[in-house]
Amino acid sequence: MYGALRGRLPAKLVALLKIRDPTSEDTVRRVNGLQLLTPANSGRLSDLHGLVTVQMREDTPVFTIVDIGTILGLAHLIPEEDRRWVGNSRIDLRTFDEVY
Amino acid sequence: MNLGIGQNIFHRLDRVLASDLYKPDILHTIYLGLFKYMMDWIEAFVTKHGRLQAFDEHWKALPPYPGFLVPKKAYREVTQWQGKEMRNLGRCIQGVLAVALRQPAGAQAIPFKRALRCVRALVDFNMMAQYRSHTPDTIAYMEEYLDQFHRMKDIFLEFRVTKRTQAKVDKQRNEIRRLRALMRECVATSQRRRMPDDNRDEENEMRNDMVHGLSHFNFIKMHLLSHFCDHIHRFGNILMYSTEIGELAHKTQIKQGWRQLNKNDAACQIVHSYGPQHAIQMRLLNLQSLKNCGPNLSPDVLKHLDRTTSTVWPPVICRRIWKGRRGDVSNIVDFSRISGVSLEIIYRELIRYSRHNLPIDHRLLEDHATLRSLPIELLRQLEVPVLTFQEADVYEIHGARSTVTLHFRNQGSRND
Repeated sequence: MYGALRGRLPAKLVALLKIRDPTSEDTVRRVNGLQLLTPANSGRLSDLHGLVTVQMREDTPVFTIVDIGTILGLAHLIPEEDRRWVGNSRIDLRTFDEVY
Repeated sequence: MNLGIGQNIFHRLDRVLASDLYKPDILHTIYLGLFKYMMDWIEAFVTKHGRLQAFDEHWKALPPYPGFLVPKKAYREVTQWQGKEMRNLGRCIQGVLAVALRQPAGAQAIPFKRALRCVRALVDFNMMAQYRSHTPDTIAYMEEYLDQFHRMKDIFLEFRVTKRTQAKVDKQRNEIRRLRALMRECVATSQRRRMPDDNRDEENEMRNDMVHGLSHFNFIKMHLLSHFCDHIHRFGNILMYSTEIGELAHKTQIKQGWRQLNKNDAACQIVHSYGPQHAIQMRLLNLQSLKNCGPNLSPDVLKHLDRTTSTVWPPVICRRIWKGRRGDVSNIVDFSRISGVSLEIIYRELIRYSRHNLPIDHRLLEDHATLRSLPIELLRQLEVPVLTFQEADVYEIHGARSTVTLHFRNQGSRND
């Protein structure tokens, strides 16, 4: 899924929220508000530079709530154009090993 | 050449081969060697193709990442390029170059492609050389990257012009111009008008031929790369022999030692004081490593460990931590006002999240009035532990920040 990203999808963090459940006092939901990005070219590595390009499409939902556990770590995205980034997979050894 | 090479002092030692004494060193061979050369070539390359400004802008606009030093200046304004800076460069150069060389004009497509592939091969080789454990596959990949680098590096050959080559080119060009001036006197006026362009093309062609004929990549650090794979085969990973440890000793052993002493016979004191400190640190690390094994150790060893270890070690952090609660948000309405996201969208997303992620008996009520009064907290930072590559119990902390609209360190809002 998502080509070389292998199931991971970069997103822009909008908010970190704790939601208290009024029905049970002790329950707190930890969620993230995200704006998901879309991998260009189905997430395939570019022939030219070997990196994945991601973009924020016009029809991308501005706010999506996901569970805290879905965040795996930070991604290093180098801005290419307005609403378009190159995912830098050489930023550390783990990313280099996972995105290929 | 008639060189008389005498006996090396190591030749007399048993089980020692002088040729094996060289150890590949990423710091001096790649960071301070090849990367430094490569950046000279890249700078000349992007200047030639009119992309230096774009390269500088993208360099300056690099986003933060854990362990990565974000450049504060444009590439051309950086004056200090030492090991730390070059290591940093290796982590981002491919991305920056890819962005700077995007959308090539017709004639630029092939040179850009070759330049990017060349840089990519060297960066990938460097990444894989840092692995702590290798398999035949990883070594084969390294060989492939090195091979590709050698196949593509010709694109930068024209930037390897030495002063001697340049002098030869200038001399030959002056000679040709002198001969042309003599010929021009014998040529009709109508033909003279066409001559300048022809001459320029011919001169460029002549220059390229000479540069390609006389320039080369035969220097020692280029050759040393060829020993990396063989060395891994025979002696294990390259980081074990890194000279960075020795370089770091300048700080911990000498500088700190100097500050702590009374400067009376300083060299002797530094040597004598650092040894015991280092030994104790090693001892504590060994004990910690043994303790981490925990249940796998025999009770005798554990009992002994408890007796000898007085330090209480903090547990390894492997859960997500939230930080920086904001006091101005207590419900959905406050959040909507601050973030600019409409209430309708937030309600819709909360309902979707509740339906897909929560058990039936714990789902949120779906009427807007209840959702509107839902108590919430807005936080600024989430620390995510990420397992370090090829380590079982070492984590890097990724701090994801979301300041929404607030400024972060006087540089606008930051939402990772």
